[in-house]
Amino acid sequence: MATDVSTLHHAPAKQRRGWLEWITTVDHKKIGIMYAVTAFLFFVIGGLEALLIRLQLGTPQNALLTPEAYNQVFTMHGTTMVFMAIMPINAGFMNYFVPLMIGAGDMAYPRMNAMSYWLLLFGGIVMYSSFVFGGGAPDAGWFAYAPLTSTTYSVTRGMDYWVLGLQLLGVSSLAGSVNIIVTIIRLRAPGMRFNRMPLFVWMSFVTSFLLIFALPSITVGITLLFFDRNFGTNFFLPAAGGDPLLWQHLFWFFGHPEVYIMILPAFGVVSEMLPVFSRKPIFGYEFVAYSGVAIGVLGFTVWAHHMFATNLGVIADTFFAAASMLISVPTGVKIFNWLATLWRGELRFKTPMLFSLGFIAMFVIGGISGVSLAAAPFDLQVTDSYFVVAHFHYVLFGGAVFALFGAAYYWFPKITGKMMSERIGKWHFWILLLGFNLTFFPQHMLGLQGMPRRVWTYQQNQGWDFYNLLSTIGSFCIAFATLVFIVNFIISLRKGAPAGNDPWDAATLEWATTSPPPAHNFDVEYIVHSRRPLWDNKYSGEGRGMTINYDFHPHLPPPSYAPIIFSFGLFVLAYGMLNLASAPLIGIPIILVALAIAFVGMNRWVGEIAQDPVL
Amino acid sequence: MPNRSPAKALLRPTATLLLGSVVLAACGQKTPQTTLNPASESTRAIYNLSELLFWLGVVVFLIVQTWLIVSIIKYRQKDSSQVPTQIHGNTKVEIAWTIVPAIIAIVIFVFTFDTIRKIEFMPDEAAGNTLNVKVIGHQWWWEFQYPDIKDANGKPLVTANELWIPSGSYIDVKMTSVDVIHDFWIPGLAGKRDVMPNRESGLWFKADDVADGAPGVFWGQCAEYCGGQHAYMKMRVVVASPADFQKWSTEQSQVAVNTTLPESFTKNCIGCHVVRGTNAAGITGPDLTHFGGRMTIAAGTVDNTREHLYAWLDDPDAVKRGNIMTTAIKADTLTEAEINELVDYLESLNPGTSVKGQQ
Repeated sequence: MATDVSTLHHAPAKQRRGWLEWITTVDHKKIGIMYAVTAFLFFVIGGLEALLIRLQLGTPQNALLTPEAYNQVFTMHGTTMVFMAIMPINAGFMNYFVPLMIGAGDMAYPRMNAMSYWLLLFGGIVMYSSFVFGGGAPDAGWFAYAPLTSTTYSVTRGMDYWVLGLQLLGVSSLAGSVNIIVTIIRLRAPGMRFNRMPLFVWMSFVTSFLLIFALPSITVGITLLFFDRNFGTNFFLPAAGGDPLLWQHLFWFFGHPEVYIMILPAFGVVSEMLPVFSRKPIFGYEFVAYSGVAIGVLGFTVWAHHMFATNLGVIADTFFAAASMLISVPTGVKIFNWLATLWRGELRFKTPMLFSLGFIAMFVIGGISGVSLAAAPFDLQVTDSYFVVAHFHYVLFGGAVFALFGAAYYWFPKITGKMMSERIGKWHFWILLLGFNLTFFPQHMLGLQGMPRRVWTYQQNQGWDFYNLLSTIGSFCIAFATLVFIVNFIISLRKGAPAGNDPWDAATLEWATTSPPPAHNFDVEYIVHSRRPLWDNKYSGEGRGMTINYDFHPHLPPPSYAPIIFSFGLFVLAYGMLNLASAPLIGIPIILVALAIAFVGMNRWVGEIAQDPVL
Repeated sequence: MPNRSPAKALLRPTATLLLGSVVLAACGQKTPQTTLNPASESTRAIYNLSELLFWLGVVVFLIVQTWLIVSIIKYRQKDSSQVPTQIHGNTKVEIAWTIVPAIIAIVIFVFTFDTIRKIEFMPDEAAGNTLNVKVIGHQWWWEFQYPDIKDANGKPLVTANELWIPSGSYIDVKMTSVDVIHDFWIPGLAGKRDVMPNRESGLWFKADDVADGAPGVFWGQCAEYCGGQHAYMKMRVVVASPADFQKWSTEQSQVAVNTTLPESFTKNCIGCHVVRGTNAAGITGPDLTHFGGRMTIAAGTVDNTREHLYAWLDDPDAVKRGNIMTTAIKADTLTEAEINELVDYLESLNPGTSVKGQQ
């Protein structure tokens, strides 16, 4: 493969400096950083929304927020955390580390990679601009059940912003997935067979396929919704023969795989960190990898367990209950393999390890409540109650967010060349663990005591005061823990100890290059001979894990304005679409301008010298 | 400050907080809407299933957390130069821990299927001992119709936000919505069922026997997010002995106990509300024929007292923001005299059999 690439080598193009360097970059590492920073900002915004929710529910019959404001806040909290925080943080880590872990110089399509990032940023801006221009943010919940989303019941333009924001985010994710898949298939270093790939790369691969199969369903759904709201169609409107349940099927056919899209990359990073800090290989590599594939496949057969309460009938209830329970098998296999990885190891409790262990402990709780939700009759009692809220926060916060914080501590040295403070990191972990459990464990009880989710308030005589107060106190611990992380991040960025190439004594290829890596990632080409090339070279003897090809010409794609221009065109297009039905005289000119901008971007794109590594 | 580890530093406050919470919860308030106090055959079946799920969950939880904690203690690094034995896996072990969760899943599935069967299929013995009820969801209140019980006009008896049912009978509930999707949920009596605008969903339940003169009150609430006041779309279900129910339904099917509408009612209310026996025939809002005997105002928003009713008529938006009555009645629509007249009239509409004031 190196020879393919070397024929494309050109003298490095003029590198731009300052902010221009960032907006024109096609370097997967810079893009990965932009993804992660943007996603973290959205995580903070979504977290502030969560604090508003908890403040409102801290005491019964609280009047801090009006029902209208509360409904917007919880809708945006869910939408933000799913689409603009967890998914793009995953995408950021995948961007930065998939090429490094497989010994590649960049992603397969560097400019499309930049486009994916810009569409994330612009999609988020479209969504949030609804607060300013839309007369109110989206207010129908993150799964936006029809017909509550119709113009009759959701009277602001919020849901239109939601649709168009999601469309941009969807294009971003689809393009990103294609990029990851092609990168993994085409750009692996010599000898990096699929069954030698790091498990994070495996999970990135599976996740990308999930996205490609799941996203079309919601894309269709939101397109039809946009037509219903703007052009007088009736796909989901019962009064004219449309079917609200159609929305639920379209949404959850996406929405359930989406859960695995958020959690599988977390499984991947934990499968990287546990072996490194146990100083052992992962136990049962094949089983961990294939169980991830199994989860991905089964994930497409369980969507209607979100719809048990809709009276699906005995046969459908039985099928979807059985399929959902089946997923506990590969998930259990993963957990047992992680535990076995620890067994007889030499465990080093660095911050990434603490987060990995915390991940296992918390995710198991979410898994147990998850299996119980698959039992359809029990689901009928607790679905749409705070029990479900507790469940999915144990999965997505106790699971995904813990793993991702671990990943941040694990890879920060590689990205910046500096270590994060272990001392502050440990405080971060323990405060977060405490705050997380304080916030979400009582919500199991609230659900069992009959508290529905998505209520803007509750009455004193319901008996829900105490657990709600506890939960609110916990949420402020989480906020404080996040603040500790930010402080650690800033301090470490300024005066963290130098990291060196391989601070954790790790096993995979990203640690074989400098910290931070050079623009072209590797000065040489590694020929991989084992699953743990770096480790085996250190502990089994030089050349046992990998050998080096020095006759290697690193390839460096030039920066480009095309991705941001093209993405900006789509961004403007969203505002044109928003006005198309309500004010065509404004909408149509905006659309024309937007298409012109997109065309300029596209024209630049196709006119630039073809230097993408894959041709 | 001594250099303590965060784990130790946080241990004591956490323990205090957790212990405190257990103590406080133990002497805590009543939870009238709990799922943990089943009072029907179907909720008891669900409760039994959830006990199984709970104990299996506890076992899995203990296995995993014990394994985790033992590993953490036993295998913490003693010698940084030492490399442990490199174990890559063990197929036999893998097969074992694939089969064990599969067996647990199968056990859960068998009991789940059995429970689905129990709660979905109405038993044969229900024939001849069934009361049909129709639930209609509105933003944000509940309409209940009794197709089997005719009112004075020969139409099905209609009530709002308070559903009376006889104990020991099979209640066959059919539901639909006039606007968005709602969800009918009375945790003590039945699991949730979505109430949808374009199709009829249904469930059945049979409440446990209650004694004559001692009806049981169950709290319920809309469980599918349905817009602004989803939080205040509540209901009460009153389970009465067959004799009490008979008495109640006989009273309810009569016209209102006071059919002389005050002028302010005619002026402001008849467009949206029914009072049987009068010319008030609007169907947008709840039927008010026997309003005086109901437990709550505005779908469980406040208890039905003269003071609350006054506040509600004075400014419905202040009591339940954004509800549909605010389109007709603003803060300054009614004079004090008119409100008092309406309160007097509405509270007089009490035929006698009522659990008002009872929680």
